[in-house]
Amino acid sequence: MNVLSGQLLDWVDERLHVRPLIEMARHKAVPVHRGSVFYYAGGVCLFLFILQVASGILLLMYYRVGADSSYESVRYISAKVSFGWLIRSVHSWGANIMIFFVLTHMFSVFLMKAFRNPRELTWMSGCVLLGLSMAFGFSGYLLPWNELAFFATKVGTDIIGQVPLVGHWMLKIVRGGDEVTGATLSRFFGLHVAVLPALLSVTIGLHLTFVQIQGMAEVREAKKTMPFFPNFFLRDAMLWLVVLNAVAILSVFFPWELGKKAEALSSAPAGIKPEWYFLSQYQFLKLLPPRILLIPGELWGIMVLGTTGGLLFLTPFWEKALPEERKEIVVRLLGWGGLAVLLAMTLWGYLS
Amino acid sequence: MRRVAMTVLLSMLTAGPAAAVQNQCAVCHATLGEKHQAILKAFDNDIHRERGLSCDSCHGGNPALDDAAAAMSPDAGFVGAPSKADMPKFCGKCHSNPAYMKKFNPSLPVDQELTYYTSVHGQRLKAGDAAVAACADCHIAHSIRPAKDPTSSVYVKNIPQTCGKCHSNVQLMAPYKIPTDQLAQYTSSVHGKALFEKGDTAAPVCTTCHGNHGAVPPGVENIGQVCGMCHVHNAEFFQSSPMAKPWAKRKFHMCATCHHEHDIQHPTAQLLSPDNGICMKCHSPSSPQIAVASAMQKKLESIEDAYQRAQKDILAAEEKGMDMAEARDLWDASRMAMYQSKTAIHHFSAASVAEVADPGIQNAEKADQAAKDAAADFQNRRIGLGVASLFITFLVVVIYLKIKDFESSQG
Amino acid sequence: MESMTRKRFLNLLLGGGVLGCLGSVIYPVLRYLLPPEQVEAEPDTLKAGTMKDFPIGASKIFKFGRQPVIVIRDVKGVFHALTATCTHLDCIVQYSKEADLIWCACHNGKYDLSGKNISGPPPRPLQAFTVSVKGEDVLVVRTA
Repeated sequence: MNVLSGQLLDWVDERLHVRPLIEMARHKAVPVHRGSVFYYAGGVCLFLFILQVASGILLLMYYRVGADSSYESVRYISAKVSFGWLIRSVHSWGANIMIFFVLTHMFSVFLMKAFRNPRELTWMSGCVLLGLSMAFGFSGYLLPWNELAFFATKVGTDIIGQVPLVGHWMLKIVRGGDEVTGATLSRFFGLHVAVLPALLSVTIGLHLTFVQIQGMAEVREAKKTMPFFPNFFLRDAMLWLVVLNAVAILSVFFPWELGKKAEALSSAPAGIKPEWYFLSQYQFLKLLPPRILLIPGELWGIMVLGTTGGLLFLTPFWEKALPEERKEIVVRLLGWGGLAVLLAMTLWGYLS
Repeated sequence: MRRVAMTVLLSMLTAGPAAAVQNQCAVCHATLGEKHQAILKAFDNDIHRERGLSCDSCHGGNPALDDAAAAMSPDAGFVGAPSKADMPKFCGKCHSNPAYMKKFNPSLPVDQELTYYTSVHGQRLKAGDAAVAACADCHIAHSIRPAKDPTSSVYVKNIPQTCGKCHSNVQLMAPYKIPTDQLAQYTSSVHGKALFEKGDTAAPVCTTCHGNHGAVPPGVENIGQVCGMCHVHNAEFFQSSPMAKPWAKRKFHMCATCHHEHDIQHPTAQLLSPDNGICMKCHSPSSPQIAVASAMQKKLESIEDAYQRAQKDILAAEEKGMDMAEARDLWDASRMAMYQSKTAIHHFSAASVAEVADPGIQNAEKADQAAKDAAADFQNRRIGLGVASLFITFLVVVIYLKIKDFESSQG
Repeated sequence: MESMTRKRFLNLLLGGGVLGCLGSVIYPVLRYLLPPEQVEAEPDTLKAGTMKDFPIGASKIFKFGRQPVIVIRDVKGVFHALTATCTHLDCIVQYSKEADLIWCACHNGKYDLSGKNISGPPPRPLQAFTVSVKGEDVLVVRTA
């Protein structure tokens, strides 16, 4: 048995030079400290992404994009195909939980200051992954072509039109016309099943490579380490299984509803709100007055949100420029403050 | 150019007050107390006013004169307010004149006066009874609105109240020795509920069966015709049934004998009961006819029962989030069959009822089975989840033990 | 020695757990991939039949997705397709060849062949679909 696997390894190594990689994995270690638990968040994101790809491919077996067929085929999946309800609910719940863990991962990395030299690229690729995940959520939300999705997309894309000069053209490009129609559906579908998966896969590949090259960020107080294989890996596996079980439980007890089919001419149902991960931004835009200093409030909003995103992306660089004695306090303030603001705005948006 | 504009402006200024001064009726009557003021105010919303008519159009006289005596002299054509006996003719001046009415609404009938005199109201008026209803009792004088206007006293939803104003009045009806509970009965009937509770303006009101201007109680021989206007199959089946001839001979109302008139209730299978059903009025309990009634009752009850069971189970399954679209289609089909079975009763043949009811019962049972399957499926989902959760939890525990095991050896 | 048997036992359990988990994932996936017997419902076009099924004056009621639809070939030979649910109280309407109109038996509601409610209680017209004849096939198309 051992001889056989040894020979197989030799065969592979001769062609792909995997022994250095195995050697590296053997020596890979994870720091052990109070915040170690957050090291699992990234792994869970990876697992959920794999779950999304798998359930997404399964949904593609029956989903037919089109204003006349999207809703009908999703209905067919949830009502007629055996376990179709499960696959659809797993995909929907998985998406939400994935965004949740991506955010958890980001905040923990930020607060542990793991973005510092030499991990700037890891941080930046992570920010790209967050953006791509949200784009995934936004484009996927429309695909069942139900009333709620239709109006949420209408409101969500309206904001793009506010961008000065190019806004109208951008809106046309995103919607495939002036209004949200079957053309929008086709575009979002292409984005959701071809463009975003490709981009996300490549970015995840880069992100993981960066992590492997640099190793896990060490925290000052961490004295002990734990071998990645098998100690950390098995713990990862435990958590993945727990998350899988949670998704299954949610899918069985709270199956994702389909609602009514989208009708362009029907009036918007009351209380249309975006998905929770867009709620804080939505609430922020809603709060702005129509005009500030002659410039439309929404434009200000887009500028503020854009600048925040840009600053987040460039965290490793401006943090470095801060005076040494201020670094700790500024990161803490921004991290916890940002989290608090995000939570408060989301809650506000949810309740209002 | 400027001169032309000045002239136009001037003529407008002078024409304004001149037109206002013209109607002297309003000027004087506004000073004659509340009753007159109320009439003037009400008339603002009257359809006749909207169409450009004024006081003198009906009452005659010369509204341009500010001397009351001259303005309301017979020479000026003044006719005043009509007595009840003269009212049909008073309104008929215009409404019976096709040439005149064409100017306003060419499709409006002009036979109201004529048909009014065929009604019980008209006949009595002709005979000198001034207590009966004439034009202005239903179309409230000075605030007349067309029948399609929801604020009109003769709008379909307001007709029961308009007729009830007199017909529910015990004192008014006492000399005629007719009942006064029609409005109350109608309100609680299937038709009244459709009109008042469901807002179905297609539901029949007083005038649908009795006529409006020519209102009479429908005779025994044509009551079936009246009901048959809407309940086509019921009337048709009855007329071709063995019941038709003997009923006609005995002068039974073909519908009202079982269903009553004003308090028509949603019929239930109970109506056919061999214990206290309506058939027992004539047929003896041991007769073959009662056996047929009993068989029809059983069939109706079984389709109603199957239909309700399916409904309950479908709703329960939908509450659990199951898709019941197909079961609902079957259930809809069983509802149609249920209506048809109730109609088929009027063949007075158990076989005819079974013919439409049986497929309906089958559909309802299929729908019910689908709903039960869905409920079971929902249960299976939980069992499946339980099994999967068991495996996952087991693996998690084993991995945990495994970690403990080798970490203790790692030291 | 004892630790070896313990290890072996644990590995056995581990294998069992992995198999159980794989099973509970693979079983629903395989069942999902097996297509259901009823092919997908709710198409945009429905084949109502062939010309043979529709002699002059014939009518048929179909399920178009969730909706019952009546397909009529009127006395002049022209095809019509309309929702078959009466707008009054949801009874199923029928085509009356003699009167060349659509009729609801429940309360004597009548519609013309374009679906317009013309007499009786119906408050609204019936919704019309497009009928196209391709060769021998009679097709009903959902109009946007």
